[in-house]
Amino acid sequence: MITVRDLTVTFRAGNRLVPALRGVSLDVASGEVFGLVGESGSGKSTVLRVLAGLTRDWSGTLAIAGEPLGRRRTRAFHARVQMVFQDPYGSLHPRHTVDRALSEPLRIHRRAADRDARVLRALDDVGLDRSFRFRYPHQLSGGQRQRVAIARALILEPAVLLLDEPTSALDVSVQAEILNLLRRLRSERDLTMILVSHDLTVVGHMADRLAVMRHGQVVEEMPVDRLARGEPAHPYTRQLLRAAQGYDPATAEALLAEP
Amino acid sequence: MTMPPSPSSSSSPSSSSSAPPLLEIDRLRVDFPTETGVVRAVRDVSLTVRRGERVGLVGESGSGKTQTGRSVLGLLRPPARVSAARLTFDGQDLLGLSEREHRRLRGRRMAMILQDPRYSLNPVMRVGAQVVEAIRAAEPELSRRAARARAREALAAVRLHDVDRVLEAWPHELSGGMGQRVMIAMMIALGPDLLIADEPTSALDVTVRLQVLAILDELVRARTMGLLLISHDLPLVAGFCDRVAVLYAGRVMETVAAADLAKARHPYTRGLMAALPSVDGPRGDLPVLDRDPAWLSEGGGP
Repeated sequence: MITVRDLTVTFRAGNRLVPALRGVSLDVASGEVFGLVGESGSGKSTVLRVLAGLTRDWSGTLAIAGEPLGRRRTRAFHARVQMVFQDPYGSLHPRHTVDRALSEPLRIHRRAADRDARVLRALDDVGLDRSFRFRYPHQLSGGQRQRVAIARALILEPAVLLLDEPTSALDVSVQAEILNLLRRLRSERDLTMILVSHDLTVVGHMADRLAVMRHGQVVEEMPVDRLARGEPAHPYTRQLLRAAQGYDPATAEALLAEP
Repeated sequence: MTMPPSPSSSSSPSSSSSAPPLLEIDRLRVDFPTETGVVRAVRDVSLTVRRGERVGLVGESGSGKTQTGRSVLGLLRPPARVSAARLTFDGQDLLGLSEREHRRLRGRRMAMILQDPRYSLNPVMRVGAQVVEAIRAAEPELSRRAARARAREALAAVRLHDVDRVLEAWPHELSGGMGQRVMIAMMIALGPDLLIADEPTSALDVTVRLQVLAILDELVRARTMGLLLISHDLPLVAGFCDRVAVLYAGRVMETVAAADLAKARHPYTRGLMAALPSVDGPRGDLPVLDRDPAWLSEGGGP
């Protein structure tokens, strides 16, 4: 469904060139949830932003459903590939109601004919009461806002959902609700998802396969079972795995000994 | 590492349970009057921290954990209303303190570390100058040279390797983990007896997080400092702390030994633990927390 070959991105910071991605290659099958894990600066979000067309300066080869992608994305592309960001407060317009946030994609893509029905269905789909329709983002909790962001991403019925840390701004109990929602939507709609997260437990719970990134490269790719069995091949992945399992003085001491 | 002794560490060197607690909070309340009525942010929270003890204060957003920490430090201003049956630090009543007396305690004897070092450091002042300033603000009698020496020791104590470079750096040149170590260095240079750390590692990557925690751990052990760790991260607190108080809607649901968190009895704590995804757990739906309205009227003490 998604093919990434030798993706390279270099950012310019003043006079310096900072390599953000150094030859990343990935294959995501149709209907698969693919996890992209790494620490800050590893390049995981950059992969997503390039795919979504938000970062235009890249080299390599990209294809979605066999169709090669260029620098610019067509309107049809955006109807098929949608993105959900970490902070729904930042991605929802503070002075637009939920209704307007959900209607906008329909208007842009000229599918406003049955707007009312679609907006109501979108609210139902993400488990939001219809009474939320005319509320503003500040009147919603963090979890409700993320449901709105997911509803907006799904309203055009895309085939691919790109998720950038979708639950890291949420409390654990709310995170569980959103992860359950994503899991249900995936099975109902046969969605293909790329889930970017710094949290190995979230990816371990949701993904079928995952890639671990560091310094702009993929250090290891594996099926999630291998992670569950605690058998990653790369030492860096094993370190992340140990760190994800809470504080342990021995592990922390070993990390302190490193420069 | 060599650090100056804190003023009272010699008088009560033991952290045994018979010694009076360093921090004693008994039925703390924090109210915020608003246009639509009084918001009761903290409702009868009781908690103790002893020397050499790492106490976790966990809860979701809005549970009152940060307001509890701020009350202890005397950082809440009107219209916030702070009251308690008892709020003492090393035997001293905190509620009756003047602003001036509180300020003398802060820094020297009680310190706080916040989540994101980027907002705690002055962006237009070199790191070394800031650490020196913090030290001299708490101990004005110290010479600039002596304060600088103290700053170096503190930065070395938090395992910052290239101390000279860090002293000369601007805050934006530091990574998140380095920035947080500078904050910790700034606090420990003053030798506080109590450190209140509010989500000190939430903005850090997992591996850096463990390093910062290891430094805090070492400080608690070596200095018999008391640590109140405010966090939303249950697995982290379970592994790091000695005891944990679980807050919900401004109330303590239960206080348990951190090692027993997995066997916690309160349905709220159990619900939170169950809602955590895991790498090797079942891959079906996560149990969703059902909040029982009865929780709002219980609690009030450990």
